[in-house]
Amino acid sequence: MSNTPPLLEQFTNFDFRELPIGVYMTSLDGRFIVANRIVREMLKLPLEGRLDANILQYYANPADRDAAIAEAKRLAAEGKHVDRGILRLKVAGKDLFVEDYCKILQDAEGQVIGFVGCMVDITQSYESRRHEQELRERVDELRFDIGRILHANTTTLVMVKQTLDAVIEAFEPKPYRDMSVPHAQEVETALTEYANLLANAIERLMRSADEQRRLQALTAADWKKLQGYVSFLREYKERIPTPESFPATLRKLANDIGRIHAAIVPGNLARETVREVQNTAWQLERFANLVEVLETRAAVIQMDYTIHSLREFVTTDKREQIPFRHLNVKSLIDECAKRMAEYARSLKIDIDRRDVGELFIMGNERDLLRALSNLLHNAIKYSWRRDPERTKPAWVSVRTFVREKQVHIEFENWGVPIKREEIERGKVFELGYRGELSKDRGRLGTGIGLTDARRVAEAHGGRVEVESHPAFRGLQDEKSAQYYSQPFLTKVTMILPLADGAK
Amino acid sequence: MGGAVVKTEKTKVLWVEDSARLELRNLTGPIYISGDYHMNLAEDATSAVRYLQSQVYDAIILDMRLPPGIDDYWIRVYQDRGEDKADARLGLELANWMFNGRAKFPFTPPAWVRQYHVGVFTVENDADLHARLDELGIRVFQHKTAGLADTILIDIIMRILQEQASDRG
Repeated sequence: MSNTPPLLEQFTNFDFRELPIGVYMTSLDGRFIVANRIVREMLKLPLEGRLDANILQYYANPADRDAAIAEAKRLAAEGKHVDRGILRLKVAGKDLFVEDYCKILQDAEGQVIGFVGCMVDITQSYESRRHEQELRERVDELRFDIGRILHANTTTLVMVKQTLDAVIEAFEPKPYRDMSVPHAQEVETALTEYANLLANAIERLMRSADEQRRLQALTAADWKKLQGYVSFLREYKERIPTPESFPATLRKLANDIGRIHAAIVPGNLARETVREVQNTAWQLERFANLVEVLETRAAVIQMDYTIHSLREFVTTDKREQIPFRHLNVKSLIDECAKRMAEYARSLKIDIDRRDVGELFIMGNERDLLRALSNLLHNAIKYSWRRDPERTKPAWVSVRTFVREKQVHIEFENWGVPIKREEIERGKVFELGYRGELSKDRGRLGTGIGLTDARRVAEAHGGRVEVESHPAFRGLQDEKSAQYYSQPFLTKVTMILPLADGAK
Repeated sequence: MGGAVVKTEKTKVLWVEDSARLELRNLTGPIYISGDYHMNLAEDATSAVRYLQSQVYDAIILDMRLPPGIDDYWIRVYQDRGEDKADARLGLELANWMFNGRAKFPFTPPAWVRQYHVGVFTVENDADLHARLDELGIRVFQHKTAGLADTILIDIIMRILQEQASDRG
């Protein structure tokens, strides 16, 4: 390379057609006088030699050219030129969007004789923008549809829940006073009792008559079935590998026995033994149904909240922005606890509130209520019972305190773990992400709660912190298969700036 | 349903389904009560592989959306596909392993398993899935919807057994 800088004079005859941008000149009727290599490439014209083409043939809509000329003339009258006009051309059947910078050429009398200008191919970015616009419109439509569908589903869930409440009320006398889901151990004890009563009743029925009368009452196949059902009722815990299926399976079995009972030809078997089978089958079926209905009711309440928060989230930025105002943290938590009360009751979980002082923050009440309710909902949803005898209800705790002018609102529960890597990699905050262990025992969710809580906290100049560690010191080996089977203490804390001049 | 399937002992069934113990628990009642089936539940891809490597089944009922379980390989596949059960479709990946697995997978598929052992039972019902199942040669498919009878698992098992009977001529 030469050390001597090139003299600028050598470029005085620079051919502007070499510019790395499309340069062109056309006559008034659109014939190309000049088109540099870039324009020729754009319009798929011969790269060398004389041009025999008219720009008019490239307009996707020829009327656009008249409008473009009129605009160029108007601007010229104001001493301006076309700056970044967008032309939609058509080359080999495909759209070509160009950004056009152009001015008119006039003769000595001031008559327009042609145009000179530059054009830049912006098809890709234009298409992207157009695509983005289409997507935005589609998202808006979807948001409207989703909001409407979720609203309709919420109404249906209200109906379902009310119906289930009425069904539970009809289970009088029922073994449980409230409408919460009984603990698995209680259910198992009651099921075993009812199953044994039914098995005893069937055995008594089988002994209540000789073979001839028995076969006049029911078919041999039915008796064989009943015999098999007695074994099943006695050994149901061994026959059904998953305890969660005990009520549903025994309900089905009791219903089958009820159908066999209905087929008994009267007059062949002792009436009281027949009635005993009917009654004990009915009791087992009734109890199993009650458990299933209570669990379904709890699932419906949970689903209702999930749908509600999804709808809130989907429609968030469509609502009018409300200016921040002073909010009492205690009132916010009172309202969240009120919203979650029925859900907590359905799962027999107490909400334990500690150190909730009179603290104030600046914020959007609706967004904060949604975000804090999500955190409380999660704490309830992922709780297990703490006491080994399982006699006391489980609880979640809500605690507030101030540290370095920041209000900490902490939700703590004892139960389902969150994996360490999910916290460290920030996975728990990703939209739609549900913790690997979060489906434990069929818990529903959308993976929105924590994402939304963090967004809301950040919009208020705050943040959300998550920690989860074993509740006991015993098993600390993360590689152990049992590590994530033990209860974890999980704390999710929303940290928000204390309002100026607040108490 | 076509001709009768003669059974001399309990039909061994593997149901690969992460909701089997909970949302879908009502579907297992008829299986347990009938006494005709020995059923194992695999609630993730790792457990499914372990069951399939250790036992021979007459019927495998396979869900498409599954969590990975504890095996590093399945966790990696799951993470690579965005850590979402719907996107990961580990059930389809399990079927791939069973029938195309020798070259691609780090563990050997069971020698006994054939396409006619498998029935797919899933909420997914798109053209892409059907095309993939066709490619794999899996013919028994049941869309999982709320309107199904509680005997649907027995129906699927019977369809799988029919498929085997017709395939074996």
